Amino acid sequence: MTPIDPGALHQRWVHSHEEDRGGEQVFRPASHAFPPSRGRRALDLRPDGTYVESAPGPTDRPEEAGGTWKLAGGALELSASGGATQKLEVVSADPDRLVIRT
Amino acid sequence: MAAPKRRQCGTQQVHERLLEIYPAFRERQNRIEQGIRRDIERGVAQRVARQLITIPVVVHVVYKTAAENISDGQVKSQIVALNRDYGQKNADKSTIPAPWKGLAANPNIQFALAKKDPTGKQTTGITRTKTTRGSFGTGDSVKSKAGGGDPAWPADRYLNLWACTLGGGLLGYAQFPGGPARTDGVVILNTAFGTTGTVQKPFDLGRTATHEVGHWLNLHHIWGDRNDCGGTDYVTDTPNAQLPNYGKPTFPHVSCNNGPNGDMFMDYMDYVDDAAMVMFSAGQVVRMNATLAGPRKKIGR
Repeated sequence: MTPIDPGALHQRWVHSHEEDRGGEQVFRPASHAFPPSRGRRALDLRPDGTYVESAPGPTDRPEEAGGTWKLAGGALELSASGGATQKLEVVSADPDRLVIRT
Repeated sequence: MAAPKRRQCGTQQVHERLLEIYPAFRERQNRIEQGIRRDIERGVAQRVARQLITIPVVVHVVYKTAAENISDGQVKSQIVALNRDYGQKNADKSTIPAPWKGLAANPNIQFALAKKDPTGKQTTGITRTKTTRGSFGTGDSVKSKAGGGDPAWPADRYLNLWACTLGGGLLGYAQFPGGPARTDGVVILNTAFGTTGTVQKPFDLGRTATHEVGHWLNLHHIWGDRNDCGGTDYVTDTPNAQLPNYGKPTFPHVSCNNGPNGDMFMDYMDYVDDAAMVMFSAGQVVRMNATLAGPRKKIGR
């Protein structure tokens, strides 16, 4: 696949779960017109290498946590401040659409 | 390089941080959890299940525009929907997949708009508050005058529901038992409140309230609020699931080695559309009854 430009990833991505197919999750920029939802995960990938993740909490209130991120071998690596690392395989990255495989 | 540690979602990190910062919160949650286990073992929860409990409800309608000032009819349609789902009178329970038909249970809990206000005066059980705010967030400002909203009625005697415009496309949020009384209750987007008036598909069957009141009765999401199959909803008969399901999934959706039947996505405590959620499990019903025997034992009695 075409190498991913990390610069294209520098924004707040919100899970557009209505567009998911199979094991692939679609994220759209926060400016996208999202319909109401019980909750959405969001990833704010910042140019300084830090990120903030927001996800529905146990009572549906969004909750945030963060750490540092990098692109490594076609995967988005999120290293949480607590020490845990998530690897998300990037299927495609365009300015208005990020697709990852879980 | 060291092996990556277990995956952890943002939610769980934040929740654990809150528990670290507020030891009293952890202590209270632990006490509630122990009490619930004890009451289930001793059969207290089952005794509650044999009584029909009717919970008095106050609906706080907070509005800026005329459309946000939802009608009495729309408010009442929400109470009807809660009684349908918490009395297992929903016709769409026929869509429960065969392996789980026997697991779906009747909570036997009913709801009624309050007839007396906290001072003992007659009431419709509906308050209407004009606000200057275009929308509310999840910081509970809708629950105070200072925040542009309307304060809770005493939480040990009433279930407080707020109907307002929520920002960020959120449908609703709740509070578990054991939290502060002044914020105890459930907030629901006005266009997802009830089954008539301003409601919009696919959240037009009143089930955002069914889900949120489930949290108010101490139910957790069926995926256990982690994305690594390591979470729990403290109920054994809902299969372990990895992530929330959305929309109208096709049975089965397998995750966390939970085949052949997969996630119980048709449960009210998943994230599917209103038309796709149709049941509480027997384990969830026991847990709700234990909540009514324990941390919420005064309400409706």
